[in-house]
Amino acid sequence: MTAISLDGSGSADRSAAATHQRSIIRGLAWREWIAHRSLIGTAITLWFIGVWVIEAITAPATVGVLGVVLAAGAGMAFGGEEAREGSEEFAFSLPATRAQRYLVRFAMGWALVLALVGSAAAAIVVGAPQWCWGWIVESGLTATPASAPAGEWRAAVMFSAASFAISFAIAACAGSVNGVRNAGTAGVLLAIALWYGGQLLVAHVLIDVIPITALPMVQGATSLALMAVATYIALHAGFLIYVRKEGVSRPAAAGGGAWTLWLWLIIPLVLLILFGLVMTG
Amino acid sequence: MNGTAEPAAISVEGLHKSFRGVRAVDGLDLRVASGGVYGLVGRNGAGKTTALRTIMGLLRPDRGRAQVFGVDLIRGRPASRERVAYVSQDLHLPGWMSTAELSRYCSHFYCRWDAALATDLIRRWAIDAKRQVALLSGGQRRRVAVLLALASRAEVLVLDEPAAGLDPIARRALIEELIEALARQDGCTVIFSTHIIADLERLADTIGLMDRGRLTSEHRTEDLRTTTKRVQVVFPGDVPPAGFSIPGAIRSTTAGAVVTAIARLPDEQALAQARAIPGARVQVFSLSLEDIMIELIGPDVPQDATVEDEGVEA
Repeated sequence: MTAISLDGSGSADRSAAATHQRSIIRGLAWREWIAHRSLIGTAITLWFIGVWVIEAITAPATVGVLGVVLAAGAGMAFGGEEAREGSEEFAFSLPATRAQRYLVRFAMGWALVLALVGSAAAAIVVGAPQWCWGWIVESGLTATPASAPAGEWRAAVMFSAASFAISFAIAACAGSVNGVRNAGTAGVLLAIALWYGGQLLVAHVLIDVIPITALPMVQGATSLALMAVATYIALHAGFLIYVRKEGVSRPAAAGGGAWTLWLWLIIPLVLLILFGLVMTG
Repeated sequence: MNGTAEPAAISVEGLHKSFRGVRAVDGLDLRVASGGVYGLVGRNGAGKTTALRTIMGLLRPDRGRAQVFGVDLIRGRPASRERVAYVSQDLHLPGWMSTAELSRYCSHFYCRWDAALATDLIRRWAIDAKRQVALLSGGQRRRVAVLLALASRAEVLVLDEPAAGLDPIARRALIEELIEALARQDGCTVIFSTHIIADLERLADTIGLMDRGRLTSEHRTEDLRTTTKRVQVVFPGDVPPAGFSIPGAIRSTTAGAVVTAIARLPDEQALAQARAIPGARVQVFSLSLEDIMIELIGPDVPQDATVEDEGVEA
């Protein structure tokens, strides 16, 4: 039989518990903010300058490449900060559950990446920077808004979102400093592999049943769908692993392997080349 | 075991934990009554840290269970986890945060967070609250960790070597503060591990000895100190009488006609039988707690339960 509280203490308890939960979420969010405020500030400033001031970011490929670099960095930072600095034992000893930690950090990183990439794409598509500058400088020269196909913009946003989600999940589950460091690289490589996987799947399996004119659209849609599914699977698997993770301190990061640095230099170049190839057919 | 009917604040039953096949905790049973101060001692690798981490829900037991107020903390909700605070042996606090930031961060997690106590301890321990924790000395970092645990006003404190690495003066000051804080936090239950017997003597009301992942014995500190003696019986002949043993002996050695033992003697009457043997000379020596501990822990033997793998120390 359920006990009924006549003095309202049951509802007071529930209210106190809800207040406590909100306080925990605020605490976790506040920690992420002060831990990553320089990353967030730098990313917002660079994107603002790139999109709105000097208008160097104007094409889906540029948004995609820079978005992926941002996503990989944010994925490692938000997903693996505590493992990298060796403070998971302390973090896990606090009353927040691992699920709360995972979800708050994911939400903040995901919001940063999507807000920057999505807002840049939207602003460029509607020509917002041009429109704004027109209020300040009346040069008589106006540029038409970028006319890239919507599919390319979707790909740019999806690439960034998938890279972040996969990097985040790997970094969150990593048991070593090197695991965290390589999560960004792994996330980007997996996103590229999924994209080309979708393209190849359609080209080799569905080529006979799809009209040739619809092929690029189906290929794009298949790749996006694959990336969306992989993003969900990575996040869900990452969540299940993270909530079972053991909180043991390890020595903090001290210097990185040279090969990791090389990968970081090579990946943007490879991405640029691949995007170039895709854009030129 | 305590064997009391009091509700247990901490209860560990049949706990097993291995790291890559090496047993760190091997069937640990332990119970700390509410309001008790329990000291865990044992050699390096005895399993103390693993036991405390498992109680805290940081490690997942292979078998058995570790509960605080009847809840497995690894599965517990924040409300139950809020009742427990922890100071780790390794002190890997987020080094980029200042003490003030850490204090603010932790305040979000504990309903009963005592900001006034945190501020007071920062002042009394002369901690630079605005300095990054990574830039503080080892002793200061340890104080920061203890400060955070105390300011949480948790009902259970789990302290893994809280005074390790401190100089004697700093250690004494920290222990004094801890005793004072425990007196203020009426009813607070503490379990701590240490290698420093003086800390054990001053803080613990119960001492548990761990060896190879098990609790080998458990004693009330006061009883141990007052009843554990070194007893020496010298017989007139070349060898002691057949079947002779010192009553209550924990460890006993025989050299010729001299039998020496570390024994628990509730009173002198326990030796009446030995004294009654014709020609036998019975001597009883008092022991310091450190001597007792060394005797109880036993001779130095190779430890096969030591795990120091990837930062995991048993």
